Amino acid sequence: MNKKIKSLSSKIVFLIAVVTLSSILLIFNLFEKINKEAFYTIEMEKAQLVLSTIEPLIAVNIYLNLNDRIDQVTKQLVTNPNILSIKVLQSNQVINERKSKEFEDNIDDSFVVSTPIFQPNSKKEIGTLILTYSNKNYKKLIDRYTTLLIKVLFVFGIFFLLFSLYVKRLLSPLRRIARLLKGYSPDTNINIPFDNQNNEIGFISNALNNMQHSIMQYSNELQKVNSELEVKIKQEVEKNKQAQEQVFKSEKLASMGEMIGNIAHQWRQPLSVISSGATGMLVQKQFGNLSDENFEETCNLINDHAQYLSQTINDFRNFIKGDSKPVLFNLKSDTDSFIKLVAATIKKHNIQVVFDLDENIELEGFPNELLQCFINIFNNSKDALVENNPENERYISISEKIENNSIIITFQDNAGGIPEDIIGKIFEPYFTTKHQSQGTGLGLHMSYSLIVSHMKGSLETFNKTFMFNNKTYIGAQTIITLPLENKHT
Amino acid sequence: MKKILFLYLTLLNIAFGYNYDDLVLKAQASIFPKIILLDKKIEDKLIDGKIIYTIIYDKADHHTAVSIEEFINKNFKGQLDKYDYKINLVEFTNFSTQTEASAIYVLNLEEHIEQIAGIANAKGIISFSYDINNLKRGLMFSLVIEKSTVLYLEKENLYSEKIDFVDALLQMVRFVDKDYANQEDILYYNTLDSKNLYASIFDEHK
Repeated sequence: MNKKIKSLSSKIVFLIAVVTLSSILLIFNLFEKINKEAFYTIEMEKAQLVLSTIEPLIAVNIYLNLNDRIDQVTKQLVTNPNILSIKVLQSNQVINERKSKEFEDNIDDSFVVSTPIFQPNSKKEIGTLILTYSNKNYKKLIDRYTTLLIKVLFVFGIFFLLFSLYVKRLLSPLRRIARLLKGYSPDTNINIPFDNQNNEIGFISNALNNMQHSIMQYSNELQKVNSELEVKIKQEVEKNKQAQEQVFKSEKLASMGEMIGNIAHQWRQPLSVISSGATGMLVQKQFGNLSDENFEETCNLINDHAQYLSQTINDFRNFIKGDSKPVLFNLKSDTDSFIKLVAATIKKHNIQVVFDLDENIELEGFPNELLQCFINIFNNSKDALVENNPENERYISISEKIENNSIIITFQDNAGGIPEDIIGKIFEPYFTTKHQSQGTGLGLHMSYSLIVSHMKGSLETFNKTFMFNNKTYIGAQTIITLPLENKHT
Repeated sequence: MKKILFLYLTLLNIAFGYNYDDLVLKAQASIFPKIILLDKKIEDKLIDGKIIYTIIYDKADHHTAVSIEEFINKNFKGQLDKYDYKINLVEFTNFSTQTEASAIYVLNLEEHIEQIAGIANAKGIISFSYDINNLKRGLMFSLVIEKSTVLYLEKENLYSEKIDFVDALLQMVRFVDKDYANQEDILYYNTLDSKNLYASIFDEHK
């Protein structure tokens, strides 16, 4: 039952079958009912006619007290095979009654009609005439009619069968077209027959052939356009990639410039220490009071500071070099490197940095790229703090922790936050609120790309109100979320 | 004295009167007055609002006429359905166009039948005859008791515009054609049923 009829011809035939069958059954029932009633009425009328015919005769005979004549009439009447019995009542007394031989056999389903007997030439009722009329004719008529209807139904059935076959045959080209179209693709040309037929199927075939031709033309044109477009896209992508790389390089160079400044500032003190140590040893040597202890101590001092300078160079070189492949690194160490690189800036602008770091977080990724992101985020906070906050109220807090199977790195400043109308755009490329000489508008965009694309993490920034030293501040909070997979704590 | 008178009348009747069938007389006395009411034009035949049933008899049959009158009065008690009736006894010699009658009943007569029938037909008076043979002489109805009671009607009387019987009456009577039928014919016809009778009358004389 659940198997749906999919074929159009089957649907048409099925629907026609349902409609035809319903109509035939309806008409059959209706006609049967009407005709049964009609036949019944006819037979009743016949019986009534018999009664109305003999009633005056019976009436005269009753009136004239000719009971023997009544008997003759009733006797003659029951010779009619359709009349089973006749009963004449006068003043509710049966004065004559006759029954035919068939009476007993047919009494159950025969017609019983009665009529009052009126005195001739008067309206006075003098008796009642009761007639039992055989229903043999009625049954015969019904049987004949039923047989006829069944024959008609049978003929209708034959017609319907032929009609179904004809419909199936008419619609068979459509099925063939459907089968042919199943394997259609714009690359192949299917020759659909029947296009010479002067009917709807011919029109459809013609239309499909024309459509195929048009599709093939469009397909060829589209392929050509696609090829050209593909080449253009590749070119544009390459261009864009190169441009972005160039921009990234520019941004890195800009960072490098800043880093070099930082390094130069960082190097000043160790170099001064090294210089002072070497100069001190020289003076002590010239005055002959350079003890072995002083020499060893000063040499160690010089060596320590030289090592520090060497480490600084390593950090800077790593930063410049970038990461070619993911490595396992300690987040705290990476953060330390970041702090060393920006230490001069922190000191210069009197920024208080508050740390809340989990020392044991290790992860696999690109440490220098993450470092670059830290620097970009820090620089934005620093610029905002320098612009908006007095020197004694410049705070940046950095926290690193594991939460819900993710590494959460949070930068929070108290620079007043980012205006709501631009906060949604800060990761867009070339978006900057700074003067052209100060920013390229690529720092945060680059950070976003590094975190999201390279490290499969997320980066979001929003404004947050917080308490620090019993004072309420508003600032930007930037959260880097990195997946914990491949991490080692 | 009474016995002598009865004997005298009986002998007189035997000597001069017609020998009537009492059963037929009674049947006719029962049925003929009713037939009057089967005339659709009965209203035209009322005299002073009454049906006048006139019995015409030969002088010798007076006592028969009286006994018929008595029998009718006993049966109908002065009332034919909604109409009052009156019975007149008229000797045939006194019967004329002046005689009042809605219907006449003619007892056995040897003469004057045609004259009486002529007057009745002319005046639209329904006429009944004791003797069926008088129908061929112009009277309208008679009644014979055969296997069953049979009413005869002389066919020509149907054409009278003053008389119009209910159809059912015409269905049950047997017709007699005075131009062709004679007593033998009628007796022969009596052996046939009504359909064959009617058919035979016409078939034989075509």
